Amino acid sequence: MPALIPILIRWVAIPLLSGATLWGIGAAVKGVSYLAFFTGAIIFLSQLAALFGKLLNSLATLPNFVLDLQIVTGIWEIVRNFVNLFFILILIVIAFATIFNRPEGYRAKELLPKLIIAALLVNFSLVITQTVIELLYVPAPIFLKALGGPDFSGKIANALRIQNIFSFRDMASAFTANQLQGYFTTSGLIYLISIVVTNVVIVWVGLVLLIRMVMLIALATVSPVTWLAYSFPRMQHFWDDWWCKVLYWSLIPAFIFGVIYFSLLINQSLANIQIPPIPLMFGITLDKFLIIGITATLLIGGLWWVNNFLSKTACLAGYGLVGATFGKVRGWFWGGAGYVAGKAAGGAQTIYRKTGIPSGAEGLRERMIAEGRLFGTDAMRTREARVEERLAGIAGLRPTYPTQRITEEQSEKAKRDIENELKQAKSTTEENVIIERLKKAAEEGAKKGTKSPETLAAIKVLAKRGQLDVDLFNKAVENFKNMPLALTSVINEWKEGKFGGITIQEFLDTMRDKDNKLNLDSRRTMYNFVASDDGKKIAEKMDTYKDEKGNDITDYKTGYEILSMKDKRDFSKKVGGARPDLKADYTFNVIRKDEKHPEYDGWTKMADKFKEITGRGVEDIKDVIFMGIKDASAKDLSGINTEVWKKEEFKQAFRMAFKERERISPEAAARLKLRLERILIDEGSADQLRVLHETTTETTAAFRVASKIITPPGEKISEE
Amino acid sequence: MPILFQELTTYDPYNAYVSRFLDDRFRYDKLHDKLKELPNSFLDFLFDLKTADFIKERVAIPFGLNRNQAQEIGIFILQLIVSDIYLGNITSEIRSRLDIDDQKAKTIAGLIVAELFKPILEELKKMHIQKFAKNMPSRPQQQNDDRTVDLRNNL
Repeated sequence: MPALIPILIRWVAIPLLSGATLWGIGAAVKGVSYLAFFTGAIIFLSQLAALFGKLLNSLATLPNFVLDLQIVTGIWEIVRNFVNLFFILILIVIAFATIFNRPEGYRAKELLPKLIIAALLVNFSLVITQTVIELLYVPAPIFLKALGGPDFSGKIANALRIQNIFSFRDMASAFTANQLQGYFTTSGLIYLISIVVTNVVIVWVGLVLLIRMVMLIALATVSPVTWLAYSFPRMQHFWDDWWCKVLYWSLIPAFIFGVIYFSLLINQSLANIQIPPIPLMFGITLDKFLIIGITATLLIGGLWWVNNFLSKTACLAGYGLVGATFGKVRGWFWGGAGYVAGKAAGGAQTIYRKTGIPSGAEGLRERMIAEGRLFGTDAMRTREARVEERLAGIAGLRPTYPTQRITEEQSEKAKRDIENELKQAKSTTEENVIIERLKKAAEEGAKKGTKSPETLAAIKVLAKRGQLDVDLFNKAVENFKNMPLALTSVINEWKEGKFGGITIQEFLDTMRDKDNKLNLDSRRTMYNFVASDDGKKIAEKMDTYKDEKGNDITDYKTGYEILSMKDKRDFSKKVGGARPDLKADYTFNVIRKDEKHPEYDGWTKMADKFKEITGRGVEDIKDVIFMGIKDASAKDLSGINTEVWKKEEFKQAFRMAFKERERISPEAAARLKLRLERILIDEGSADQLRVLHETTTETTAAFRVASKIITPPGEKISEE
Repeated sequence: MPILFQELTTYDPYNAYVSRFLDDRFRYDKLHDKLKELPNSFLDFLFDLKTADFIKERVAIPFGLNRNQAQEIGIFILQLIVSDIYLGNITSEIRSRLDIDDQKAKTIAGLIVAELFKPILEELKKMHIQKFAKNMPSRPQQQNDDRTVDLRNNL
């Protein structure tokens, strides 16, 4: 037995123990290595966080760092002096552009105001930059103070419960439940996440503030170049980018501190809520999980959002703000109208739609004279609109009129190309293929809201060829409703095509424009067309309709009041000729009652003349119609719409007119009647003839009744 | 003397007809249907004041016609123009409608045909021959019948 013991020890115990030992040593080494690695990583991260934490501490309390650096001012002065040289060069470019009227956008009226402003403000560019930075930094210290100072890493660590992740109590529970390994794994992971989140936030914030300092210095020193870019069209993007960056880097501290503050605030609120500590797994409970998870998400997610938000939105908002602000400055510079620069584009659009005077208002003075009284108080508003539009252009807001003009010019070119293509078409089939293609292009353009010159050109060609139906036109109107120049050009082309493609009623509905989609010029073109020979059939169908407020209004009234003074005369003559009833209605019910109406004098003269002829005053519309037709030729009378002939007031007026003619010259009256009869038999309607005879022919029976005699056969008629 | 407005219904063929038949819708409309088919030369003739003037100055007054008779002449002329009445029967028509003697009727007929219708006579004759030829009698006309006019051989 004693001899066995050494054998057992040598061959069993030692190997067994060695294996166990070796395994134990291996496991220990492995465990220690992992531990060392993670510990090292965490220590490294923590050290970095500590470093950036100190940096954060310094940078957060020195917002005006750039102001204090002499080197910044020195470099800025050098750049400013250099930029001043370029202003002279730009002045020479402007001079040439003005002389040769090219290139667009470089002429004196377009560039000089900007140049003068830039040349003045470049000397204040550093101060302006510093002021903007300071102003936008204002919210940051507020959040910082609420966080208890820049050293908020401890607060973040507390929020993420770093010190509470491991506890002896939980360890003991896990050991008892034989889940110690799981406990350490889970808790270790959460601990790691919390540490990483805390340190990443600190490092990121510190890094951002560090970069911010560098960026602000760079932006301040190059600010004179920005003003040069402002005055030079080709460098406009530089101006935009500079402002984007200044706003971004100025605003970011406020946003970052704000996000951290609110994340910690929410963390505090969560802690105050009694979330039940339901065990989830391996020592982690629901309350811990939620608090740590939500806080970490808010911190990381919030900071990510800040970066995204500022890089996109800050640029747009800032640009608009800057644009409006400098619009104000330029407005004051020009005489006090800058405060509406931000609304100038919209305002000028409205005025242009209503008055037809474009923003550039070439010939404004002449048009105002031509318009006469019509523009009255609108003249002032139109002048203002002109200034406003100019300011809008100078302010860097998208100028309405020049942009539309460019689109229009490009569309004219595209239109010529299409027309050439159509001319070269070898057959009608080929032409039809092109037309179908244009229709499709116009439809798709309208559907997608494309305001391209090509879409506009397609619509114009279709209009000119009378291939534009009302449905496609309405879509085009909807698409180009904010581009009155485009609408006007389409209508002009359509007029050349004699408004082919639509019925008379569709034309009238479009012209009446109850939905207020068309601009003034377009409507005027349509009313002028009605007054032309080609529009006679439309004039004949003019009628009373309900306006957008539900009031009865005649086409004549709308057309007359919408047209310029010069066109009113033609309209009154032509449309009044075809529809004396509408003209008489307008005269009697509108002009007669308005002493300030431009035609009131004409009305009083007419009324006086009527009294001279008849011995009484004008009593109703038939009297006005009588005055309108009493001197009309047979051709004019035959041109009056048949429906008008059938109206009672017209018949009465007609009868009066012939009696008057007979009174003045019986032979002329006879000639007129015969001539009219001839024309009506050739071209007129049976209804017109009937009315003519009923109103002017004394029947044989009537003659006999009237004369109370029946002439016996054989009775001679004297030569007299 | 030029025709006056109030004289149109007496001396102007068209207005005389309208005055007589304005209340007779059928005749009124039928007339206008026929007028629309007339050549321009006939319409020019019809609506020329010279026609009414001729009826007044060369027929009504010299022959002492009253208003009704003058109107009747005008209507008759219109009916000739629209081929409602055969030109060959002009004398007999005038005689019966105006209730005058043969000689007077013949004179008036000759005046109308030779002078008034001169600008459109050939065309009128062609139209009447075309329209009335099938209705004309097959045996030749008697030469001594003063109430008819041989359109083919006379005039």
